[in-house]
Amino acid sequence: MHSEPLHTFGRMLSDSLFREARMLREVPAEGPRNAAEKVEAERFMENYRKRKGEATRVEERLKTLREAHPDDPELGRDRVRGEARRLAAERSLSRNFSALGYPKNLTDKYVTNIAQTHNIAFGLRGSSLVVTRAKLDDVNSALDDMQALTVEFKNRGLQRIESAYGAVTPLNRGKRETVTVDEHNRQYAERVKEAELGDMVIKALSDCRAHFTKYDGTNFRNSVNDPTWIADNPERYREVAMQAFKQDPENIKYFDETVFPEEDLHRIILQQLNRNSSFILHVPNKWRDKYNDAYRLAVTSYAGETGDPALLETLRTSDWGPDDVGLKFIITKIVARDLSLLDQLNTRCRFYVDSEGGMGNVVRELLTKDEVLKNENILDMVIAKRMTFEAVESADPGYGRSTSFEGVLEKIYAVQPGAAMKYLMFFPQERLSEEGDEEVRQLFEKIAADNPKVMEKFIVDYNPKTVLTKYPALLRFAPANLKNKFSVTRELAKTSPWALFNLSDTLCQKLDAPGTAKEKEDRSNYEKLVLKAFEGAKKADFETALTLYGIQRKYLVIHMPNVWNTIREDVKKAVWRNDKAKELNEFFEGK
Amino acid sequence: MKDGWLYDAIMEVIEPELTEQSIGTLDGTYRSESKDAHAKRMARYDRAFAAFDDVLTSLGAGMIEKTRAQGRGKKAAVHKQEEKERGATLSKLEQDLDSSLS
Repeated sequence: MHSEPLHTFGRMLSDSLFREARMLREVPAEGPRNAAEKVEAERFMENYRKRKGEATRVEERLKTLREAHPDDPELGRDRVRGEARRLAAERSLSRNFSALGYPKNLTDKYVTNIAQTHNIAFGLRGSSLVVTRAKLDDVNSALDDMQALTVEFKNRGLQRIESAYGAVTPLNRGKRETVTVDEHNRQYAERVKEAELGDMVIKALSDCRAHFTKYDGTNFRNSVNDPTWIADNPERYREVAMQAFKQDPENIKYFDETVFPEEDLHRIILQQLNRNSSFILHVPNKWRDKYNDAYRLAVTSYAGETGDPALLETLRTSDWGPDDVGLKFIITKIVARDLSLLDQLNTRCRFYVDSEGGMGNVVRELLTKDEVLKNENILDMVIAKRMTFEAVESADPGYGRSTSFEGVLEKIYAVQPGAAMKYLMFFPQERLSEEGDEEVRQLFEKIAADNPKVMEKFIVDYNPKTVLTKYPALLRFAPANLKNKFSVTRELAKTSPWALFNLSDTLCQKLDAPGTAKEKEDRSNYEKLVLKAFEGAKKADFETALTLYGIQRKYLVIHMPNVWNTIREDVKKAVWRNDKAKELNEFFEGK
Repeated sequence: MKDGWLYDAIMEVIEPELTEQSIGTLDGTYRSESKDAHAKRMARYDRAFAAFDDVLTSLGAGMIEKTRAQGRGKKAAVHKQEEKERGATLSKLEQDLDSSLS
């Protein structure tokens, strides 16, 4: 040994090499001692840089391949890392054993044979023997084997010692072979070395077993955070994962799909789904695309069996479309089980509620159930949230009247007439001028005719002005105490000229032949109101006003000639501005 | 994993002293090393670098082969599918032709 270092890497490195390598922590002040040392240091650094650069190039190629084949688990970093380590362990085996002084024949005999027999790979890390790529069972059997062999070596080695002091004993008694004392000692030394090697292998196997058994089913989740261990022991990882899975299927969400072959995962998921459909709650979203059919089947089955509201969370990320029959079934099942969930659908199933017709499917389905129809709170909720009309209308129009809005309304009416009428109030204004309006109007009138008391109560309770504005024809069903119809009329004139004209038929029949001074005054007042409504309509929407003339022309000509004459002047003035007015004028003038 | 991970992944199995992190500590570790020991160590490092070359070559070749095999598999599947589809079409055409001639 030298009293001071003859050469070290730090001293051998030039400053530039030093900076480039960025690895030596101390820069010797004196630098390389001589040219030979410097050359050696440069050669060493060159060797290092070359390998580092080549490894980086392989990494880049790997990155490119991964981008080209994103679904290939073999190209995952951890997988490649594991493969690299396995190859390194295998390649280093023979080199390092010979470096340690073990003859190749021994290595072959005790290490390679063991490795081949038990399907495990050995390698040396520094001076330690390591075992990679093995199953725990293989490690255990190899360990048993090696321990037995080592004991045998040692025993045979001791025999040699004893025999070395006496007569030469045949190495193999059966063959009666005679050996010299020197040869005997050489063989003994070899036996001792064999025993040492055996001990090393045993230690490596023991370490390997400890490494293998680092995780089991009970602490499986910890292994997920140990990608190095997973990469080193993919098979053991799968064993551990399956142990954990058997203990609690929920653990599947921690499975590393880069280690589990896809077909294995598929099989596990399908088997578990067949066994218990609630397992679907644990299948990670990222896998659902792959198992879509099975997933849907399981979700539908599970919802049918349980109506478990936990599914709403699961469905939040579902890719099912709003028209999916399965989805409608599931949500309906869930909500039917707990009607209070209807209130949560907006927030918990936004994806579905927002979809055209989506909520309509569910609501329509629910509204055909007696338990829902009889529950006024639920109906109120449906109505208040306006979940019904547009949704029901847009949902599967092909179902026909039995499940259409009108059909549903009739069903509600049969159970709760008041709720049905509230429901009707959400009939959209724009529909009033369409064909459907007539159906609704008829339905309303049917309700009123069947049950005038209900209608009367509804008008009062709901808000006479609102109801009559929307359905003026219902005025005749208004209760007796709502006698001051003109006050209603005045309100209507302000808010809805259209409604006012609709009212006129009812009112003016009564006012056609005013007898008393009061009746004459009422009629005069009404005419003023009609004119005022017309003026309002004209300002708001001239088209509408002109249409009103057309609809009301007979009534006005017959019952309110004064009003008509005033309006007709306006129509005449409007002719030049509007084709519709021109048509009306021609019609009125008998052309 | 940061860039440059592959070098260390291989080298830590072959020769831990040559990993990026450890290589910088060699100076301190072997400050009092004899010439003979130093020569032996350098020879060990040379063997380690050679082993590294073998591993890296095998790894790169393996990766490429795996990818090619996968590509070949996909290509074969597409060919098979196309053949199946074309076969069905041709068979239908032949049937139509036969029936129109008979």
